[in-house]
Amino acid sequence: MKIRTSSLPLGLCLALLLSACGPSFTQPTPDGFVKLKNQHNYDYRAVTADGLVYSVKEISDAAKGDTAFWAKAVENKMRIQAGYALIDKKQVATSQGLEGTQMQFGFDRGKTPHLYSVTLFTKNDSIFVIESGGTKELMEAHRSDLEAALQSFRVN
Amino acid sequence: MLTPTRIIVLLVASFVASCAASPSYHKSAIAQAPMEARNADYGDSDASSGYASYEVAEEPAPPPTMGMAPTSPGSQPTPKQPQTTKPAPIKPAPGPAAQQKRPMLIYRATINLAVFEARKSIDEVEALAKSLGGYLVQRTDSSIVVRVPAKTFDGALEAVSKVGDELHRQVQVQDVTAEFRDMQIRLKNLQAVRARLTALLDRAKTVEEALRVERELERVAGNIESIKGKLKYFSELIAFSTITVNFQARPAESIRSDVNLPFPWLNRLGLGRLLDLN
Repeated sequence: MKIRTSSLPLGLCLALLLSACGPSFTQPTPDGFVKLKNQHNYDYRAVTADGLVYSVKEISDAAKGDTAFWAKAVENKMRIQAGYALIDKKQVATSQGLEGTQMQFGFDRGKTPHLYSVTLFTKNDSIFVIESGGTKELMEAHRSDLEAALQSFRVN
Repeated sequence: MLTPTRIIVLLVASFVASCAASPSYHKSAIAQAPMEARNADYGDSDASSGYASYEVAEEPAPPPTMGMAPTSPGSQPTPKQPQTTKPAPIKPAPGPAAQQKRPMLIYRATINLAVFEARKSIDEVEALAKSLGGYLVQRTDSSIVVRVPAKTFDGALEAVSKVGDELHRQVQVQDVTAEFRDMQIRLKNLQAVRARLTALLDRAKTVEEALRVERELERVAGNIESIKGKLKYFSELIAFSTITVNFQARPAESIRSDVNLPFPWLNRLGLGRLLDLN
């Protein structure tokens, strides 16, 4: 009986800890996408029927870099080391007022041109990495859906 | 006052001065030189050779502005010329001889463009080279090699870099002046040897002699053709600069020295992982 009473606060603490480990953002699923479950490397990932993918990762920012720092790091990584073409780099903001940097890259998979978008937000010692990618044709066709999804992204 | 000693000294001095000024000593020295040494007199040219008109000298000729008007040996300066015999400048005649004074440079560039719409970009690079008077050397799905006239090299590089996202550029310049001129000298020597062998062949008295000379002629002719081929190849590389465009990331070993940030999540970006839904 003693054991049961003492395990109650411990259980509460564990529950609190587990809830704290979960993603601290909200991402409504964009139109035409379905949310995928059990994603190990992504906190959120959704896909269209024809293979366009949208994802969100939350990364603990122990280094406490600002958005400009991380944007440059991603740009170098993708361009110089991975051979992606930087097509566009711009400042974006969500409807919540969160400001970040978005980079649009181009890359040929096989002989098919693909587009890959990376948007970075930093808040509460976290980096939020929003990626979307697919063939150039699909990405251009779903451009407004992807922009709407980004607008609706919220940090809790 | 002229003493007998002074008269003798003056006579000796004027004799020495006239000897030094006269080119006849130099000429006779050349005339008496053995045949091997005369091979180095590159005035012996072969009119049939495309390279015969190149000016070759053991010592570099002075720059065009320092050129001297040729005067015949022993000729007196005209009254209008100053007594100091300062050379009257002459304009260098344009042509191969003048061109040979310039360094002979081979330009090569390699540009790495990002891997995006490679086929379209390769088409653009090929069209660009042709529009500049160049030509296609090689083309694959991920690279293209073109040659453009050397004078358009810089402009061509800038235009190529705008075809896509330039990731890396390497430009090499190779000075082949010494090598080129050395080959020209060897060519002229061999041509002179060939001429003498031909003359020897005419004078051959026995079949055995004739065959021996012909074998030597064949060997010399082979060497002449080989050098001509190399000169032609060099000339083409000098006249047309080579531009290689690769559509690929730089190899990992070549960027190992670059900053590699210690944030593993950066390595987990990219289309490969994002689109892998399994």
